[in-house]
Amino acid sequence: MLSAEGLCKSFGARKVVDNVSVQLKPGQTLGLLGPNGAGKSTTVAMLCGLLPPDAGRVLVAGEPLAGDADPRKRRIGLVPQELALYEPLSARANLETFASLYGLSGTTRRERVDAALALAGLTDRAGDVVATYSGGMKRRLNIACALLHEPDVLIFDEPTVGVDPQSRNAIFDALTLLQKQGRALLYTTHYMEEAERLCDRIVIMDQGRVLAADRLEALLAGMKMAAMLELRISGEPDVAALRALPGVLSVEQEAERLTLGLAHLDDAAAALLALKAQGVAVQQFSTARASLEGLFLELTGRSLRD
Amino acid sequence: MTALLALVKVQIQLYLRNRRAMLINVLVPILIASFFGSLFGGGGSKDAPLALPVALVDEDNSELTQHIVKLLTADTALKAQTLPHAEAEALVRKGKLKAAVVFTKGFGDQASQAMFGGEKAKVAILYDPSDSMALGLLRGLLAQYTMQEVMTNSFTGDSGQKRMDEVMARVEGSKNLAPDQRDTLKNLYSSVRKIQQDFPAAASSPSSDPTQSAAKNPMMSPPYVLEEKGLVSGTQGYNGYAHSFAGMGAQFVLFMGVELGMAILLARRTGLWARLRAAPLSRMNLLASYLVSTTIIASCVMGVIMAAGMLIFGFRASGSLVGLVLVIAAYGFFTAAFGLFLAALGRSPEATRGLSVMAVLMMVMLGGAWVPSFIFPAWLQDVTLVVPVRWAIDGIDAMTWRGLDFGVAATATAVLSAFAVGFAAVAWWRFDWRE
Repeated sequence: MLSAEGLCKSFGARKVVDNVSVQLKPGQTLGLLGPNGAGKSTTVAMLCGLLPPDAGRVLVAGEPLAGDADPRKRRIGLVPQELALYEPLSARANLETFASLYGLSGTTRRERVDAALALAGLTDRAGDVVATYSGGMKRRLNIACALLHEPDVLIFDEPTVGVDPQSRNAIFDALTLLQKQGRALLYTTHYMEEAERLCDRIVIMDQGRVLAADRLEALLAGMKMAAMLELRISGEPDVAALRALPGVLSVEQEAERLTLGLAHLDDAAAALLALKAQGVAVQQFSTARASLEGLFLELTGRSLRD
Repeated sequence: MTALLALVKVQIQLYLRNRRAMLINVLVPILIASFFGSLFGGGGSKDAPLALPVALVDEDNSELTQHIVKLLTADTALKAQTLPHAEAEALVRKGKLKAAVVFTKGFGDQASQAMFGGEKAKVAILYDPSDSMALGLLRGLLAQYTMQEVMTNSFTGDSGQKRMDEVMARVEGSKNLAPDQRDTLKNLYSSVRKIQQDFPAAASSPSSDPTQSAAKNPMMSPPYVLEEKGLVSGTQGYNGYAHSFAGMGAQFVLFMGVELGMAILLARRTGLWARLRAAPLSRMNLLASYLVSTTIIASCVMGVIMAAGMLIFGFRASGSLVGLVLVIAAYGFFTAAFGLFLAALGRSPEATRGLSVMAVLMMVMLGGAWVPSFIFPAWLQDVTLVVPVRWAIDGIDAMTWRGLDFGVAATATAVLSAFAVGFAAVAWWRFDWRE
C-alpha cells in the first residue's frame, strides 16, 4: 500500500533521516516510535510528498511518488500534529475546501462532506464556526478532513502531543473506528503506551535510523530483558556493581529513581539484596513485564523520555 | 483549477469573516485621510487659492505706502490686515499670522529718491520660520507692487513733478558731473517731465484707486499681464482629499500585504500549510492562490476607500475611470506579491512583523502617501521613483484631481506590475519548502 525504501534526508550537514525503510500493508496499523528528534516527522513529510528525499523513494501502491501535484497523493490522507483547520469558518466550509483540494466537486463533494460530518459526530453543528467547538470536536474534525478523498492510507503525525484527555480519547475513538473499517494507518508517537495499544507493527527509530521493526509480540519476544525493576531509593548505589550482577542487563539512575532491566523476574531478589549490601535504602519498588520502553532502553541505553 | 478556486475562495471568506479587521482596514484610512486631506488643502478650489494671513504695518503713512498697502490688501494671495507694529509682531510670533510687512518711517520719500540715486528706503518682513514659503511669496508681491507704485509716484502727478524739480536742481548744482553728462541727464529728466505732463495726477490723487493705476498709466505698469491658471487637465484643481485617500488607502492596503505574509508563516506553524501541501497541488498553484486572493481583497479595499472619499468629499475620477481601476488593481497585485515576498524571507511571524511594518512605513512615506511628493526636494522626487508606492499614488492622483489621460495610468500600472512580478519572482526563488 505505502512503502519507503532507503529514505535519506539531510538539513545542511545534519543527517536527519538515514536509510529508513518502512512498509504498510492494507488493514495494518504501523507505529513509528521514537523520541523527539528521532526523524519521525521528517520521514512522514517524505511519505506524504511534502519533502523530497535526498536518496531512496516512496512507493504508493507500488508506484513511486513524484512531485507536489502527483495524483497518487490522493491515496494518502495526512492528519497533522496541530489542528490544521480554518477556525473562523464552519466545519462544512472547512470540509468543502479540503475536499476541493482533492478535485472533489458537486454531488460527490456534498456526499463526502456529509459522511465526514457524520463520522466526526458534527452533523448537528456543521454550520457553526469551528472556533466555538470543544477541543475534542476540533480533533475529530481535524481527522475527518483527512478522510474526505477516501485515502487508502491515513498518516497521523504525533496526534496526541499536548492535547487534553478529552481530545486524546476523541483521537483514540476515531482510530479504533478507522481500524474497524479496515483502513491502513501509520501512527507516529513517542508514547510507547500508545504504540503498544494501537499498533500491530512497530518501527523504532532513533537519530534518524531504524533500530527495530517487527510485530509488537515479535519485538518483545526478541528482547533479552524479560522484566523491569523500578525502585525509589535513598543513598548512592554502586551502578557498576549492579550491572555486574548476573541477570541484570541494564541500570539507569535518575535522581532517586533507579530502573533495572532484568533477564528474568527472579533476578530482582539478587538486585535488592545487592542494594541492601551497598547500604542503599529501598523506599518503594515495583516490577513490570518487558515493554517497548525496555526495548528502547536495551537498544539505545537511553529512555524514550530522554 | 478547482483547488485553486477553493483556496482563493477560502482566503476571501476568511477576510470577510474577520469583520473587525475589515472595518479597521476601511474605516481607519478613511478617518485619517479625512484629517490629512483637510490639512493639505481640503477639497481645493479652482477660483481662489489659499490666502496667506499677513499683517501690514504702515509706520510711514505716506501716499506711497498707503497705495502699496491697498494693493497688497487687494491681492487674493494674501489675507492682509493693517495692524500696529507690536501687535503684528506678537501675532507672527504666536504663529497666528505667517508674516508682517513693516514700512518704516520715511519709506515713501526715500523710495522715490532712491530711483534717482538717493538713499535706499527700508522695509522689514517679519515671518514665521515654520513657513519659509510665505517669505518668498511676500518678497515677490512686495517687489512687484512697490516698484509699480514707486515708478508711478516718481514719474507722474504732482509728487512726480516735485521729485523731478528736486532732481533737476541737484543735477544743475552737481560739481562732479562733466558738462556733456550734465546735458544728457537734463535731457532725460526733461523727457520725464513731459511724460508727467502727459499723464497727470493719476497716482497723485488721494482718491484714486491704486489697483487701477496701472491701467491708467500703461507706461508705468509691469511689462506683462499675469494670467493665472492651475496646471491640471481636469475640471478640478488640487484636491487634498483625493490625494490623502490615495495615500492612506495605499498605506493600509500595504499593511494587508504584511498580514498575508504573516498568515502564511502562521499557517506553516499550525500545520495548515502541511495539510495544503499534502494535497496533489503544485507549488505554483498554492502560491498563486494567495497571490490572487490578496490581489482581489487589496484591490477591493482600495476601491472602497477611494469610493468613500469620492462619496463624502466629492472628488471625482477626472482622468480615466478605467485607468484608475487599473492602477488600483496593479497596486493590489503589488501588495499581494509584497506579502508573498515577506513570507518567503521571514523566519517567524514575530520577527518578520516588526521589520515589515517598518518597511511599509518607509515605502509609504517616500511614496508620498503622507505628504504629496511634489513637496519633496527635487532630488528626492527623482530618487523615490524606485518606490512602488510612489507610482501607485502618482497614478491615482493622475486619474483623480490631475485629470490626466489613460496613458499615465497605463504607465503606472505597468511599473507597479513589474515591481509585483519582481517581488513574486524573488518570493518563488527564496521560498522555503522544507517542512
